[in-house]
Amino acid sequence: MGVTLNGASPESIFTGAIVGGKNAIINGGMDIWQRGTSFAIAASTAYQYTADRWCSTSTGASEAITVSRQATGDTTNLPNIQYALRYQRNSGQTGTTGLGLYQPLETTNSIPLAGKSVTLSFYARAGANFSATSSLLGVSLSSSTGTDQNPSSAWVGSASVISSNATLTTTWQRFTFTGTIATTATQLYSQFTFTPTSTAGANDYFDITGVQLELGSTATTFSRAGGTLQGELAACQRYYATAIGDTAFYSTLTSYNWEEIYLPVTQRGSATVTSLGVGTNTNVGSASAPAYLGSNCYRYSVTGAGTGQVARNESFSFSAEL
Amino acid sequence: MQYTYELVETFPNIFYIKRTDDSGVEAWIPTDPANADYQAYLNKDTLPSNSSTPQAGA
Repeated sequence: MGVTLNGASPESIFTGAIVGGKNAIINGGMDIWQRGTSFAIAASTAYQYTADRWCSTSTGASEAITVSRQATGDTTNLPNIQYALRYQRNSGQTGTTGLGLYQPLETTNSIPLAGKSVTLSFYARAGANFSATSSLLGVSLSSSTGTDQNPSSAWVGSASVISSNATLTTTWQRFTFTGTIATTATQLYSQFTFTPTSTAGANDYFDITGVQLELGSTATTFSRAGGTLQGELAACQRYYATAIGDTAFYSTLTSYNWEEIYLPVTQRGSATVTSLGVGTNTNVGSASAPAYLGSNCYRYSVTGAGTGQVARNESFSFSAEL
Repeated sequence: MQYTYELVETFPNIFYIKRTDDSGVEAWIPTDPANADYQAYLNKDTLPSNSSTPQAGA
């Protein structure tokens, strides 16, 4: 006997609700862009993260693309979502290999959907020169039996859950697709593909936002995975965050200073650390790379170049992406 | 994007893979099997050279 609440199924209770945890796609509303808001992606790029949690691929030659944040700007057809992701083949590019935008879900977020009927919904529109045949945007949801893989690197036990097309126009539309996930699935990724034709014009792009993957066979009102903007940011920071290390001490030449950096959230694992730039850098002999201590804490050391006050300020990114 | 890799001891007994791209940007990759960039390092001879989790503006 199915569980109901006042005659309603658990899934239908969420109809119309803006609630954290309903949507398995993180940053489906394209709100969070910690790495920047515009990316020039060279042709023959296997994959690159752009908007938080969203990978872009352009594996073909002569097929440079630009991914950017755009205001949706349509209070009639899309009144409640502020931003969209624009995926554009650059003007004059001649490559016609399929282009992709996808999000791999972590295993711990995929297992709750295994064996279930799910609905993938999103809003999209085409640019005036969108060159895909019949203005088709490929839509897919794939499962695997792997653990925390990125499908551009590995995707074991692949199975198709949804494989279809959306016919875009230059006006925002909402599209909905339903499928059933295998009971053995341990990972999912959703993907949108664009196979261009001929030489790109000035507006050979599609815009997309409001991407939602939820339990059940009905698309309900779009909701951020994290429920609120702050919740969505925290969900994104599980995979990518930035932080600043700032240290000041008096050097006696034999001394050094350890500086701890605490990230805003605990990430899913130890991150790849990249310097985003050094600000103040006074009397510094050397600075080590931040090493992961556990939880949300990293530590690095700074030595002085000579006796006297040492000061160093450096910002870092921490990527624990799939 | 082409990368070069170097094993670096950042603290006593704490090893990182120092990855440098062809623009000179350095990243430190933990020797953690759960880290995607470490997996890319381990499989660097079989995966596309530009498989990574690049940073802003990369």
